[in-house]
Amino acid sequence: MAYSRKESVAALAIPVLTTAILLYRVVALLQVALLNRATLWIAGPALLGSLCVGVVAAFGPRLLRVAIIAGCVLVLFDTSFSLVDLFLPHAVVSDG
Amino acid sequence: MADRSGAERPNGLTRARAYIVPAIAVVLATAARVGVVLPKWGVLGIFIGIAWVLWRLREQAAPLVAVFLSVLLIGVIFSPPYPKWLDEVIDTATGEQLAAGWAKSGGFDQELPIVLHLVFDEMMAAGAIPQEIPGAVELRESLYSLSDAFGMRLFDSVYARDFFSAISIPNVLNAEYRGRSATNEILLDQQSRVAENSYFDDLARRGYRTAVFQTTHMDFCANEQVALCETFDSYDPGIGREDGTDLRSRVIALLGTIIRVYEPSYTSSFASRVLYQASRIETGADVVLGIADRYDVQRFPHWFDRFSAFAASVPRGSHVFAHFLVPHAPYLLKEDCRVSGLYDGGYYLASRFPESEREAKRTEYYAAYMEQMHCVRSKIEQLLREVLARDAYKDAVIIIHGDHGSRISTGNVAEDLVDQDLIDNYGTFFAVRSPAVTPGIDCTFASLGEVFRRQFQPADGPPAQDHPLPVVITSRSGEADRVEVAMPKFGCAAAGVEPARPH
Repeated sequence: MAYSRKESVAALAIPVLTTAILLYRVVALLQVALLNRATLWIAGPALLGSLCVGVVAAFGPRLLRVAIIAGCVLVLFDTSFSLVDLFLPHAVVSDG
Repeated sequence: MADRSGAERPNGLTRARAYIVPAIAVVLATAARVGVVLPKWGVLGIFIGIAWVLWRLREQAAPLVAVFLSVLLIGVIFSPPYPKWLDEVIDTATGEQLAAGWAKSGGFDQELPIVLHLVFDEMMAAGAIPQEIPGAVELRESLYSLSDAFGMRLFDSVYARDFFSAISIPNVLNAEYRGRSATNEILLDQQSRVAENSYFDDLARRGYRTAVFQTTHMDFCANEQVALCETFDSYDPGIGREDGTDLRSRVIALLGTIIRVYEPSYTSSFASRVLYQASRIETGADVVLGIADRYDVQRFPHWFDRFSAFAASVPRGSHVFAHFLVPHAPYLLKEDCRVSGLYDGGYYLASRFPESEREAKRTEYYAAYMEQMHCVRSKIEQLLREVLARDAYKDAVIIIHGDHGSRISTGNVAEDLVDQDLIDNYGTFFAVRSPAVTPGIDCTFASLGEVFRRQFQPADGPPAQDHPLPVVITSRSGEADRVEVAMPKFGCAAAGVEPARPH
């Protein structure tokens, strides 16, 4: 299959961007120090892993690329708007 | 049938076949939405729908989505709050500097005594501590001793009307402060941002200037009367190595926290299962239940030392209000306020353990909770020694209370609870020191809001309630989600006599 460079770069970037958005949101919310060891031990592997997924999306079969991109969109939607509320509107979440 | 170019035009059946996939997606999502199939099939349906749209745009899908996410990331970065780069080291001495700045920040009415108001989340009433638990008698007696040593009046049998902090505290400070106590007059849903605050407004009318110390869990600074606001960071596991936990535990705890921030979501639920299986967490000794999250118990000892330095140095005419998320779970702190590394909480035992294990678990969780209570008690003692040594505090009003009970109980639904569960969930600590209050043990059986209001007796409020108010709790039966339940008596109100005091 022949992909354009623009398409491949974009496909590679999508999982990395998704992971970066998820991590940044929570780090800013929790005010966890970005340079402490625990944060780095999470962010580092997460971003590396997303880069690997991005490589698969960039150079793998088109069906797999579409599935990976769809998965990233779904995760962002789920964590932003909560699909749980859509399907389980009376979910009980413990809180203080 | 061919078109002008000679290509075969798709017939109706061919066109219809092209929409089979989105039709399947819609059917799955709708079936899950109405409860015909499990929610996971709905998620699959949504995924198939998104994938189908992207497939139709497959030549441009990647660039389109990449541009969208890039814009989203830029927007996320430039939306406050900004992250911090380095671990914060809390310097206790800055508390005095902060107080010096506070003293210079405006006019203080020197005729007014200091009001020091501390809320310790999940601190249960002395009379509610279950006496059959090992260590409970000693804890209860230590609270009585603390109260006696500093001339306080300790209320043994006070209870909250709701066991969610973001319902209990706003009601106590607002509607119930004005004497509005009927169920249709108080909050029934959580309100983390406490902009309306009749108590703060009343103190401002009397001439006080208010300083607030809070966590990110609840925002009391939203009220316009607050002249100084300090918000403690919600969670930072990177503070030094003296906390006693190894790097692996801190990473797991932080990852569990990050995952839990995204509750409720299927992503969070799935990631939690993967985390616990991958880290092979099986025993209670190193369980991360997702409780080590927004509630920064770990940094409480440091914060409180700094807060104490501030509180001890404020001028008269100051109202200092503080909300600390201890002894709230996780029960991280040992009796000497050392962090033990155990991230765990004891709520809703019926949904987590079989009946044969519940009693043992309750004892185990209460043991950890009581250790954390001892830490809190020791910090309160340290604070009281500091402030009462100052001349400015000679006639101060000091109020210390919780917002609900330990919640180490069967659950949180009315139909599942017996009297002991209600006491565990709602029995709330309350103590006051004031020239107008006689020291001792008070066996009044009343709600937290009612007892608190009586300390200040706002001029525009109705008189004190002559009967105990019901608690409000979730119900799974009937039309109403929340129902009223009578609170059973406990502590010295139930015993009918004042408790024996240690000598």
